[in-house]
Amino acid sequence: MQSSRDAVLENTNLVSEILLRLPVKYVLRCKCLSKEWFKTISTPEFRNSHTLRMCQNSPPSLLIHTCRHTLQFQIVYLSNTDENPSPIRTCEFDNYLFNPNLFINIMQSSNGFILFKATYCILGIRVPCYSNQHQYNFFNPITRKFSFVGFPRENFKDKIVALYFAFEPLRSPYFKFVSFRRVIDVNWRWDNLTGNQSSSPKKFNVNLFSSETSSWSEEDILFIAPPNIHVDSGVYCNGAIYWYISGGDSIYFDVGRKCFNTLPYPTFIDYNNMLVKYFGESKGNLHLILVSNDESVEFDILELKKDISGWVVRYHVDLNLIGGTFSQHGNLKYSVLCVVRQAKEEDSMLVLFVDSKILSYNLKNHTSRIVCGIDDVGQSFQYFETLSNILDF
Amino acid sequence: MAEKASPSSNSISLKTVDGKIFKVSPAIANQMLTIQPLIKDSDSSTIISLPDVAAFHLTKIIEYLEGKPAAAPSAVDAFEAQFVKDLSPEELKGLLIAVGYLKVNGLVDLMANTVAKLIENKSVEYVRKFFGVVNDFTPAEEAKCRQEHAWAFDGVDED
Repeated sequence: MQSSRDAVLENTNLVSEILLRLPVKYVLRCKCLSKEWFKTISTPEFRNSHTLRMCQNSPPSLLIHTCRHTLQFQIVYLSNTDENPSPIRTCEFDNYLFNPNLFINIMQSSNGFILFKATYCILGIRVPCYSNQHQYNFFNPITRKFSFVGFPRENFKDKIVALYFAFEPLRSPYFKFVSFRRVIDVNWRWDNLTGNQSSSPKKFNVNLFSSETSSWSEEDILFIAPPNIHVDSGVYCNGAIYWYISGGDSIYFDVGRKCFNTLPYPTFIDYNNMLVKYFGESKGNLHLILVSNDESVEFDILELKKDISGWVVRYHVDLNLIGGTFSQHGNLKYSVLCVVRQAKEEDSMLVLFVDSKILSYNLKNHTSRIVCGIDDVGQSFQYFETLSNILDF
Repeated sequence: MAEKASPSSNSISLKTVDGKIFKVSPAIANQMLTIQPLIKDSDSSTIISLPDVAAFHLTKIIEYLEGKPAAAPSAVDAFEAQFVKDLSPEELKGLLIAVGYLKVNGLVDLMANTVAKLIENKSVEYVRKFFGVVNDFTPAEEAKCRQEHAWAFDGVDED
């Protein structure tokens, strides 16, 4: 009889089946077992299959970027697992170490990839001597592979006011970029001079890049935006970019169909004069939290209907009920970091920053847990680790 | 093996590596994808040999296929949790191999999940020993590999 140990190894399918079920951290650890395991884990096929599985079942985390002069960030693991004694780890990248003249703006976190803009300035003026003075980059912090976003012409990127990264491995192995460039017309100059900036609609040229063809679309799509829109504050979700506009219909850009549509205002409750506490995406669901004042501890989490016909109340949250921090302090400043949806509904959570702590609130059973203490959350993004290697496509 | 509605003439005989013969119904045997093609041509006198499967493993596999509730995911979860609860790491590994060899419906998933949970936060040395993997890296190569993803080696469980 064959030794059973050899049999596991001979059946590389079985090895893959097990590895596919391990979170990224443990897969990376298994790379050191032997050359054979290293090879299995390094193949594009394995990494792709693993990514597809992680898109549905990954342990959720937050990516926190606090210092604009370096690409150092912290990853905070949100799952309640005993195996993770330290819920925070720090990531640094040698090519973007601290430099007072470097400005990093993280623009998006999407299915394991981070899109950011790096600009070198001295006293607020871009430095021409740096060849990479002003660049859009995207990378996977796990594989540590960086790539510059290439543009059709040198001056193209200078007018960019917003750039979105569209990557949904469950839909397509290819990714897209959507750029918004300001169209400067005579009216805008006049309004600018007279200080009357808000009255006239802003115009943008929208262009798309697809990794499938490795090229930017030839034609510009003209976007005449309402005056109160911040074109860089949209949220990418399920093939579209959404902007929430207070007090009126919102707008979205359908990336596949290359057109703009309106999104009805949540009319079923009086949302006039409500503040946007949170607007974000999780696992293909778009969430919106509106509050009457910034310290409201009772609110609804709205979810966009799948047919984009309007909003529904998905969860009701009453932070008074969680006791501890909130009941002790009464009115307490807090911020909503994200709504995290999970494959298992009972794992879905609301993540808050309050009193120098990150708190997770289970949306199903209304319990809460302190994830970790932290001084500052700067820019925070929902994130999960993948081995994805789309840059190879 | 206990027979249900099907007459014994319809049952399939499976012979394990340790020489035990199990009679199972075609409905059960058909869920072992590896032997499916052999079932069509077999009659009551045919004995299908399973060189990689021991009696203990086949007993467990039949227990799973006969006992798995048909409906309600919560009932399936409870049944599966109970099914793997008392298995030792060695038994889990043996059953995983048997299940992988026979390609048993549903059970490959359960076993792979269970083994993944078992090795999840274990040290490289533990996982090597568990699977009988021979380390063919030079010390320098292994050090480089560990260095590359140093964070992945934080917080390892006791073996």
